[in-house]
Amino acid sequence: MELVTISFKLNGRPVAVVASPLENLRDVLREKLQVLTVKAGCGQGGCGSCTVLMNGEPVVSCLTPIVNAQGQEITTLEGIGTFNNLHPLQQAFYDNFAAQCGYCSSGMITVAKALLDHNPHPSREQIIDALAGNVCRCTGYVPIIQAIEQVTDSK
Amino acid sequence: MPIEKFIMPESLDGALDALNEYGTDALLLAGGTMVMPLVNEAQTSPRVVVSLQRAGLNTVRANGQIEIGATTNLTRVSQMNELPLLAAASKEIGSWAIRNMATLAGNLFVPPPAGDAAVALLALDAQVVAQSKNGERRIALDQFFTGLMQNALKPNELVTRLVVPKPRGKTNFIKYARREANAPAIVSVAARIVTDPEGIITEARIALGAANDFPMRAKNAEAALVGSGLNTQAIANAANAAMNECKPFSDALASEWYRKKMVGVYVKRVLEGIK
Amino acid sequence: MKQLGIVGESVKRRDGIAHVTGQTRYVDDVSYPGMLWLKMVRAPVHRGILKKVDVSKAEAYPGVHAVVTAKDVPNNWYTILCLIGVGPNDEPVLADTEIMWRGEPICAVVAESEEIALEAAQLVELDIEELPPVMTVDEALAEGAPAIKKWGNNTFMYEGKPYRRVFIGDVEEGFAKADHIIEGTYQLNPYDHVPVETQTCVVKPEPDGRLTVHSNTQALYFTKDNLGIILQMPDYKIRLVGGTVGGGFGGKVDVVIEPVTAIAAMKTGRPVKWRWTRTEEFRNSSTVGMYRMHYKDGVMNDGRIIARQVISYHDAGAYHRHSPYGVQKHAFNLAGPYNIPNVDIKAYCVYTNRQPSSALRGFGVTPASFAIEVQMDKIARTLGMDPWQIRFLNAYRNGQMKAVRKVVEDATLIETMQAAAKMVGAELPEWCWKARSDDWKG
Repeated sequence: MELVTISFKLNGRPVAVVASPLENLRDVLREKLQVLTVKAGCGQGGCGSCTVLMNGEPVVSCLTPIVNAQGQEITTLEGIGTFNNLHPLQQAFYDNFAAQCGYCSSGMITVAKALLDHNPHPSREQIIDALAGNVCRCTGYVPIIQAIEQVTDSK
Repeated sequence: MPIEKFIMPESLDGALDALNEYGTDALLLAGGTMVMPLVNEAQTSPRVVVSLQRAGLNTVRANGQIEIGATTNLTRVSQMNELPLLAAASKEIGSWAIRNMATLAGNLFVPPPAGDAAVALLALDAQVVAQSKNGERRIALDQFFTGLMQNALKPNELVTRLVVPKPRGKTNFIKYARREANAPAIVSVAARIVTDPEGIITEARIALGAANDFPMRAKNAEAALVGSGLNTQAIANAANAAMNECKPFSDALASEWYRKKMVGVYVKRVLEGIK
Repeated sequence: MKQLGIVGESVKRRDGIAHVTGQTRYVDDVSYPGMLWLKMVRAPVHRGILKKVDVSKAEAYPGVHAVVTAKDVPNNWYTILCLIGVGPNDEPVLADTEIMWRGEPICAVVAESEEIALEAAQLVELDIEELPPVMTVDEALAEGAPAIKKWGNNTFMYEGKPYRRVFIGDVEEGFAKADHIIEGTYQLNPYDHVPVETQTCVVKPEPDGRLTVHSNTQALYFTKDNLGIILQMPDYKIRLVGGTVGGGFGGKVDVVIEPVTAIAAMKTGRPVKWRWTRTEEFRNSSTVGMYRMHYKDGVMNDGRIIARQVISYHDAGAYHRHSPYGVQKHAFNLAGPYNIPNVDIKAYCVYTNRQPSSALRGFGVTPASFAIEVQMDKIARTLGMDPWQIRFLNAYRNGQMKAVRKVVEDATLIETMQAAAKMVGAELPEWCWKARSDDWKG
């Protein structure tokens, strides 16, 4: 396959990559743009650890052909909060022990951010529903839900 | 083996041209939720991939009947208030991220036990619109599936939209899976009934998912309802008929025996909760 | 109240901020210039004779730097627990003459990209003569079963016996005296760790001849020492860099990824990464194999268990890995934390042509606990006794002799049950509240 140039906005910054059109967005972000907060967990869209936002909507980047990113706004965890400027969700995850091995955290927080952008006061049901595509094998999910509820309560 | 060419037509015509040129050498890519896992593990065999992402097949129109573009994503479909049965079924597919990517027509081509959208569409008497360079034809959805991973499309035909008549009657959908969300069905059931002013059922549709090699109408179960009120006996008859006419398979999720039993249980529950 | 320092305090995770900002580094985040990708070719059948492996087409595929086969492994036959004297070495790093399970690694393609490695891997041609596989414990132990292990039978040998035995007293005498004989069979089907992070390894060959090995192993020293044995390299030449494991649960202790990655790095002279796919993680990483436990208890009318006989079968799959140890631990726990004067346990570690089994949370003990406690409930039901009381009655006390021939010390089952009963508001007779772990006077 012929390589193509794909330009898009990454956390607000314009970027461009040369890639094979069916290279998936997760691998392009990780390998070509060094965005390591996007994790590789399954390559099948089932674990959610590669979740990014495309124009504010969660997508699994492992199943997104890079051509689909052309002209779009991609948000990763770096665009949500950083070490020096934590998003309230990140602070709440930290405070509530919502991360143990940490591998699912990036995907969880990214989806939670999208949820709150759509619905600032989700019910517990709605939180659980929104996270249905993100697998955690360590925490048992309760601290994660508590962390998100804590943010919605205090909003 | 390696994919040689990637095409992203910018119109329906472009897509039909590509299909015409490459035929069975072409693998169609809609939302990517079924094709990309194969691409990621180099498991695809056709040499050409044709993406429908930009072919303009994702519009929704309502004019008497409701026309849903083939590549309309499941999130959009799950928000369609004009088709609550289809919205309910779509909401149960995958996860939020998957629904943002997966398409309605794409869901017609997934291997069982997946494919819950078709279960609702069958109960709604949906039609598949298939187009090729030679023109357009409509295929009733219950004639569309012809076998395991086989359908009535001719070579070079593309599904461009689903047409759903304005729904009449009461509906209900239940999906029974090993998890509450993001799981393939052990069994899924959609039902629609139309009653006359005395409460006698004049029209009944019962569709089953994961109960055969493809989503199916339980026509004997439907017949058991027509002419009766929606009472305990009629429901029991329908549930029994559905159990007898389905042909489920065993897989990692459930045995054939269990699926058959659950068809009976969930046809009953769907009818009991219909509104 | 003594000052306890940090005990009792809620302490935030040292790596918590890193986790929530995605800064924690996992092995897949490790990358070196010129790094190559490895993909494994695996056996498509359960059992067979591997007659020929033709890698020529894969080797010639553009972008492929090497294909690693059994011939490239300095010391191909190993077993992880050789470090604690368990033997014989029964597992090849890469299959050379035999296939023992479907998914067994045969050869590794090392290429410029993951995609090229995957494509080239499909060009490897295998000539395998299939043999009838042994797929269950019952098949493996049946008269005339094919001996799939080199020493001639299908069980691990514990000091010359095909089972680990734990016994005290005389169960037959106990059964004769008992008022009731209560039996039960309990089975745990295979299950899997499913960590969100799959097994990943990066090996960089250093200019001074050493290897830098990044691995998400949970067991650095298992890895390091076994690597030394397999690569026939002295300890100081292997630098193992561990780090945050994205979920282990016992599934990342088996040294199944580092050896081949290391050999690939040495053969190509380049850094090599091997990241298992999710499919590999399900089908090819160690699972927990089946456990089936048969209980036969001799019980008195008042609820005392006076004899317990257990026969347990564990399906270890194709190779030892940690199973001989796990089954032994399992055997030591099968009688339960109860005072039973006559115990006879035989725990079999059985080999089949299935995915090899290994450790998972409470290795060997959780299957036993499941069986024991369901059996206790069955006893309670049979006698019409309260399930709490059956346990308070039979719980072992300090000073009593366990089936493993050790005296009970520091028992806390009774106090734990009392705390649990209080928490759930269970109604217990006075004698249960008054019971203590040190109330046995001998």
